[in-house]
Amino acid sequence: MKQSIIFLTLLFTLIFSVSFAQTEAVEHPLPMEGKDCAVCHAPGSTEEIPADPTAYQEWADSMHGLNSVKCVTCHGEESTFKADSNINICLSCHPTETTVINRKTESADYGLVCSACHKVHSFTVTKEAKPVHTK
Amino acid sequence: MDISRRNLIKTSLAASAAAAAGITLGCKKKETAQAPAEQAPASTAQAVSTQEVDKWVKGVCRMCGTGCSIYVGVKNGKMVAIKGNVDSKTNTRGFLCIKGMNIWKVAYHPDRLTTPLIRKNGKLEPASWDEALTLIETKFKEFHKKYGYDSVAYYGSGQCTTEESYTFNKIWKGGFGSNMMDGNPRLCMASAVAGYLSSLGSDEPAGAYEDIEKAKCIFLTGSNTSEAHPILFRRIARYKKENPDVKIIVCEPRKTQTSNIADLWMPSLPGTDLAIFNGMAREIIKNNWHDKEFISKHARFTSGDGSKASSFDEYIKFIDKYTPEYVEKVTGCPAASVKQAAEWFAKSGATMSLWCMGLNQRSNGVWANNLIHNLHVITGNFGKPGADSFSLTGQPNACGGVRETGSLSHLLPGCKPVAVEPWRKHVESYWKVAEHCINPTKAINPKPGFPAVKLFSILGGENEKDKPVKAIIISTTNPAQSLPNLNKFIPNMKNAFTVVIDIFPTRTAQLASVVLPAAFLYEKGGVYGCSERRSFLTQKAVEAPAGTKPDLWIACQIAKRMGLEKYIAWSNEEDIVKMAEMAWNDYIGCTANSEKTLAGATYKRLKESTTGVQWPCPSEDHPGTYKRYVRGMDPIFDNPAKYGLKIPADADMYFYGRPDGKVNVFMRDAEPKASEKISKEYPFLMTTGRVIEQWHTGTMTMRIPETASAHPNSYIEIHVNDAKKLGLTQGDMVRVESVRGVNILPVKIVNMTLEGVCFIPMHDQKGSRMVNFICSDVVDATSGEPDYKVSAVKITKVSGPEKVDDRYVVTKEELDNPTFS
Ligand code: SF4
Repeated sequence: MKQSIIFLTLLFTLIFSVSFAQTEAVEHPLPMEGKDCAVCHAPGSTEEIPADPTAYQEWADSMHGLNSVKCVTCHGEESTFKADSNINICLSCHPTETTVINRKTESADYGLVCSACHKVHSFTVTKEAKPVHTK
Repeated sequence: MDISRRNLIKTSLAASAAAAAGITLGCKKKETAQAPAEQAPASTAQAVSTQEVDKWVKGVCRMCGTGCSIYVGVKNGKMVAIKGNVDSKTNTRGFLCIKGMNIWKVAYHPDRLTTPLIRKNGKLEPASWDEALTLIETKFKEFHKKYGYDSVAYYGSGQCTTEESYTFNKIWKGGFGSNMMDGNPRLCMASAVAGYLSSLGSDEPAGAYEDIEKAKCIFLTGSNTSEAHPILFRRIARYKKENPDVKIIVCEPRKTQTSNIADLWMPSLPGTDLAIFNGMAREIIKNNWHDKEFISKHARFTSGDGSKASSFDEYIKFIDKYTPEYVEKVTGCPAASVKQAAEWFAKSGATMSLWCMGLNQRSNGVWANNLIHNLHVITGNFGKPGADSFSLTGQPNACGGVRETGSLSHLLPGCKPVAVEPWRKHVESYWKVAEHCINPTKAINPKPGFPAVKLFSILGGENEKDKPVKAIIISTTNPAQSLPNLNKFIPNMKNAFTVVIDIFPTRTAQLASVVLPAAFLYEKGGVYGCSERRSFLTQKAVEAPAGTKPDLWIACQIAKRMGLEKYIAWSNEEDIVKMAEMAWNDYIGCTANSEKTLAGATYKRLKESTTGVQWPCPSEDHPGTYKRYVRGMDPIFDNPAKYGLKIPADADMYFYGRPDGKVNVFMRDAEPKASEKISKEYPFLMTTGRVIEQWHTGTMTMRIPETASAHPNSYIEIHVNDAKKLGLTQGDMVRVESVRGVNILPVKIVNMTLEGVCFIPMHDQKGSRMVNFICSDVVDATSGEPDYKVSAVKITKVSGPEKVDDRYVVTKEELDNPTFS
């Protein structure tokens, strides 16, 4: 019973967050002036306006951080900037999971956002007994 | 404008997602719109969903030697996406790095060359294919007649397909009777080849990537795996995370991201790590941790110069000098770390060493390789799961295309030296050289040609009497940026009749007499063989742009025009896929009786396979080989006579490439005698290397917006204490100078390098930031590989910070102007 409640909640969250899946390029809030993301985003930034060091630290401590899957991989660079990444970016490296998700939701023309379960930016692997992308 | 409801929701939610992601925290509103950075056309900026792709076509990543396998997504005849192959044995579960996932975008960059160019009055003018090929034919024939067959050279690449390299090799060595051909693996892998040949008797590793997950100790040395082989690093990092007891030792001058997973980081001043390896051997034997049985069965102790056999006792005497304290003094690595590393290496149960350019690109690169093999022999770390001495290769097809096909100046297919008569005779007869060769000798020359650095130093114009090579055809590589000490070689390429095959304008194309626009990998297909002896077929996914041609087609046209139409049978074929298949079949037939046999890897099998095939693979029903030299695993044991080998019937393990079946344990001295030394005037040791977002000379990665933005320019990393001494602050511009050349670079002050050691990445094309102007062109005496990792430089401040993040690439317009500004 408990499990099915969790599953339903999860499913609801996923469907609710569906529109994020097709995130398009938006403007980066500030001109980047060619600076590396870490200049403003990393903890200890001495820039005038430091931005969200917590997210950066969570990323740095994650497997993405360890493996140098840096900001630009998911967020694009300034001209292709996406505030939120989408499932089709994740697809390149996580083909099994994303393909299964897409197959499950194809009929509704919905994609899903991985971060609904795998919290940005730590990307912890969900502890659910039955992750949604199990075949 | 018609905005559908769904799009409207998407757009507004994207904006709120930015807020949710915390991006706008504390930010003031953007006031001025920035000029957009130069980037690939908009169509490449969008990710495409799986549902929108017409087909996924199997292939391999075009970049590093990891050999990640992929699927290219095609829609309306254009590439639109890449995803990892979940069946892969290399990039397990389909992981890719930022380069692999974006590689398709370069195909649609507006800088693509789409017409042949011929230099007329200093300018590269558009020409037809017929005109360009006729000129090449005329010049080649003229030079052959006037200056001999060795006056026309070929310089290939570990990025050409195996079919292409094999074809050029066959044309030169058997068709022209000339060994004046080499390839860029000479600049990265030659020391590993010579190391394997001299120690084990046969090139390439005994084991495979799957040893990673079976090892109990992993020794990473001379490799910043996290950036140079990111997906292998991911494998190691994941394995370490799940198995914290596995020991990871990292030995390199810089404390890079790779050492984040290490139990032990062993620093070493550039050029000195051989002392560490000998020191570890001494500790192992002193503590009685060596494997006596393995040594008695499989080791042959050999003098330092390789001239005579020696004994275990002599070896013990030889390494006695390398006490931990002595090693600390020479290398900067703490004595305690040498002892600890020795213990883990010997006692963990299964140790795998992985190394790359840090060992190979050295004046004593071959010896460095030998000393790693030594450690594996004395500890018995060969032949069992998780135990191997494994050289990582830098390019996707350096192993398969160049080492295995023997496309270097001293080798023949099967990676056997041209000087070895029985094999040369075999190749001559297989190729029917006596019948087809246009050289009156009607034979393959038993004398090796010249390795890259020597080759480019004797290349020159017709009026240069001391430079006997007058013409060169350069395929899929950029020596005018990648050779060391560039000031020495640039004029030679400019003065000679230089033909360049590439997809983009490059530094080398700027010097060319003729430029031929090539097709991209996914526009032609072909086989790549990665570091772990695995060959994998990339299938043609899309049509090549009008005006471009695959290198294989170009090779065939040259063959035909030079009178080798019958000799290169596939030169009469129209379809590029069919041509490649015929070339492959010819190749696997030629090497079927060598230990590198891929006779079982037919094109049909490669087309169907989602994992590729590891040699030796003697027949179609053979699964391919995970581990060499072990009976029951290595098919060579089943029929050694077929390969011209003798293996005792009772030997479970046998290094059959060596006459006595035993691995050489060399007494190699550690001192880098030929390397450049620091002096009062040039007090810093400079080393070079890669960053994760870029690859080689940046011709592709500097044209992908994401990778270009992450590393838009080169810089010099120096230690915080050195910066203080020089009065430098972050971003200051400095002049970095060796006796050979100068760079002007921004400073990156770090505490992860050793004091007195600085590092410059190798990817920037801007003339004032091309590190190879500075690099030493001393080469390893055996392998001919340059000493990129050790140069002496001085550093002086030029100015405060300047904006240099220009993502510079050579443009089409600059092709007419060969000054490297
Ligand atoms: S690790 Fe190498 S082969 Fe794999 S995706 Fe990255 S560049 Fe390509």
